Amino acid sequence: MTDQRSSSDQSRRRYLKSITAGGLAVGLAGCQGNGGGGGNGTTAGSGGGTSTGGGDELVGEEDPIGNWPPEGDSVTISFNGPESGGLGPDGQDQREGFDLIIDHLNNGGGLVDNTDLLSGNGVLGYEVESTAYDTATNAQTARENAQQIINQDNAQFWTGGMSSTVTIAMEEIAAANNVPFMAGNSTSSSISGENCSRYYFHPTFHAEIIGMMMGEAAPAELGEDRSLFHIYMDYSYGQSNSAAATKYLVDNGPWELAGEAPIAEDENDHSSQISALQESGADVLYFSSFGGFAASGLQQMVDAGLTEEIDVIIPHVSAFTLNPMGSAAEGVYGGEPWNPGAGNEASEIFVQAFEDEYDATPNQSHLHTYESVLVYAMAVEQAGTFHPPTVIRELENFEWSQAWGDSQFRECDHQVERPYYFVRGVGDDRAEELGIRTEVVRTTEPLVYGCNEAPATNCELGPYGDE
Amino acid sequence: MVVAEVIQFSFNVLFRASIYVLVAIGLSIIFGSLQYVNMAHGALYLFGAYLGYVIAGTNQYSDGILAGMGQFGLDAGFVAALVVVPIVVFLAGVVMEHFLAKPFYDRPLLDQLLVTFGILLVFQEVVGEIFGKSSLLYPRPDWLLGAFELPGIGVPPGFESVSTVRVIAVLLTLVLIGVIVAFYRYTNYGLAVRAGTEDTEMTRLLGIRVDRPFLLIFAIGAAYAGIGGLLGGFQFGFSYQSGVEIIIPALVIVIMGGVGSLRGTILASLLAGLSVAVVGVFVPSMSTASIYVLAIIVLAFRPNGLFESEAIAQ
Repeated sequence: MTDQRSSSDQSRRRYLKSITAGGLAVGLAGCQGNGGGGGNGTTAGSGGGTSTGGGDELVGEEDPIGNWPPEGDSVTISFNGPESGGLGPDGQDQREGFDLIIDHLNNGGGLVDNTDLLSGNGVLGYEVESTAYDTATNAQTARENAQQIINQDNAQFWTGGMSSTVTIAMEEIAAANNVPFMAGNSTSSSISGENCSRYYFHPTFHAEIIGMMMGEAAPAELGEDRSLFHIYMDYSYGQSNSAAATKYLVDNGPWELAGEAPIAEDENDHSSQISALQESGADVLYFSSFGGFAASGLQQMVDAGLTEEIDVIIPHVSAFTLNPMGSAAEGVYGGEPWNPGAGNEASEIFVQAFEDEYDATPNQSHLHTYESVLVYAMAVEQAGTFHPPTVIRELENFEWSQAWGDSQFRECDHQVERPYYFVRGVGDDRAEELGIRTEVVRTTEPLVYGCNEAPATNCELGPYGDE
Repeated sequence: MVVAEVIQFSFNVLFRASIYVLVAIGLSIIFGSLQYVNMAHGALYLFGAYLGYVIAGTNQYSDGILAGMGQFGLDAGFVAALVVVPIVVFLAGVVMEHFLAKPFYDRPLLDQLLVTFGILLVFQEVVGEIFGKSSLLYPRPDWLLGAFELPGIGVPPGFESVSTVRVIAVLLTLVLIGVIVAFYRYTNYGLAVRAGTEDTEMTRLLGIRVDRPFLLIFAIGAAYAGIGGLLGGFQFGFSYQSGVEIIIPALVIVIMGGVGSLRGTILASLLAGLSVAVVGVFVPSMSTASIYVLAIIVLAFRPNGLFESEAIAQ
């Protein structure tokens, strides 16, 4: 409710501004010739002289693009994540991370104080305003929200996403409207492969990299003489994760493949798949599922007494997948892009700042949104402008070292290269001690495949928009 | 080995069919006898799932109003939930019949459809606000874990991969089907409902008060849906959206079986369960959709459903 109100208040303010700015534009300049829509009219007006902010104005030969230049003395950064629906718990965590970084950008604190690039007094002198929307884990809702973020909120950047389908939908909108977007925890390889976008940066692993990670960590932890079975959700997330695991654990690794059984995306009944798993004789299950679906499936395996005989690996495991299982989550392996036990100094700063604000231990979703916005803000400061093509060029070789560890985006496909965490679910006592239901078993080196390998070879980023 | 696989697969199908039957049976009877299509019936499934969850365990909610209350729930166990849920949902059915159904009995079908579906959506959102929008899983008592065992005998041959809760659900559903058939065939109330369904006006003219039998059958249907919510929620997990997720296939099953026909509803539920299980093995993404394909095929050949029902309880 608050979100919508803040959004509509802001829209109202922008509407008033646009009338004023539009009047000025007509009265003083009257010749921008670009007033086809509310957004354009507003932008042209601000460029004409209403901006009193940090000075990221129309100067030189640059044309307005996307929602640049910002108007007034504030800029908007938005959140469009799954606060309800199947991924609701992760989305709610993302939202807390988002609110925290907006606060830190404006008032200092947390990792904003851990970089020389940011002042804690907004970004480039602009106060950061925020709007937030719930995708309801639905691609169409996400699209509608994104259009509102771009057209009504005049956002310079947004974050959120989660489900690969939702993220891919928003990648298209970002490119079409020249507004950068960085999202996350989406793990379909196509996100920085065939669906890559000049206006999107992928700041975490995806199926291919999770496969690399498993190839490095799983045989070392579980032994080399193992037989692997896949149960995977029958869409891009599950298909790409199971394929990558086979590639790195079987084709290029020591394990044998015992079989596979797909399950429908929205199906909770895992009985057929569990039967196939039992018949296969496998001793490791690669379970490419998530959230409530994964918890339900795992519970059915526990019901059947399977988890005592079979090691279960969930490619991308998170708190909300394991929490509903309680102590049954103990011993389930998985990959995490971050864990509060990551062990680096920036992580400790973030954990402390988060605990001060929310009195709880943060998880990967909290940090993910937090650091995505942080990195964008750092790149803007480094570039000295919100001008999207300039910020994108800045990000294309951007290196930083915060809670994620030593990280770098690369130019060829906008995929990040950074370390990841092979983790294990823990029982109730240990979970209480850690504040989270996973503990780090192994930390990888920064991982990424070559620009000349798939899925990078499938990526065509598209234009910057200012060529 | 093959026998075990057949038994396991059969219970997969029978369990799913049981959940469909428990929800669809009330929907079908009420539709058939009162000419009232009650999409809010899905709310009773939802009510059963959440009520059972609160009764069976004590849980920390991650979101919603209850999130701030720490551990919440009676922690009385699954059996207590199985006893209390049908009683409470039966009473909820009485309330629903009085305030929601009765005023709409004589309204056009479309009015009933829109109003009751709207109420289901509102109910879901309220549940989402209170209990949160996360999927929930029932706590598992030890006696419900693992394969089905007979006291003193152990796991029967071929049941090594059949979980206890599936067997309980299937057996319970068989008993409940028996109860409702007996109600129709051997009680005066059942006779009154059958007569009222044939010709409500004539039955009234003969001095038979049909209101109370109709109310009773409405509430029994509600209780069955509540049990369906408890068992389905226990096995697969549930969320505030589970009401809509169950009511759409249930309505299709009712129409496919023949509105008002118990036999048709049971057979259609079995066919739907079989269809989902079989298609789920070969084309998983089409497993739920297969119910609708099945309905199209059935209705193409039998436009009034598998068992066109002149009299209910056939």
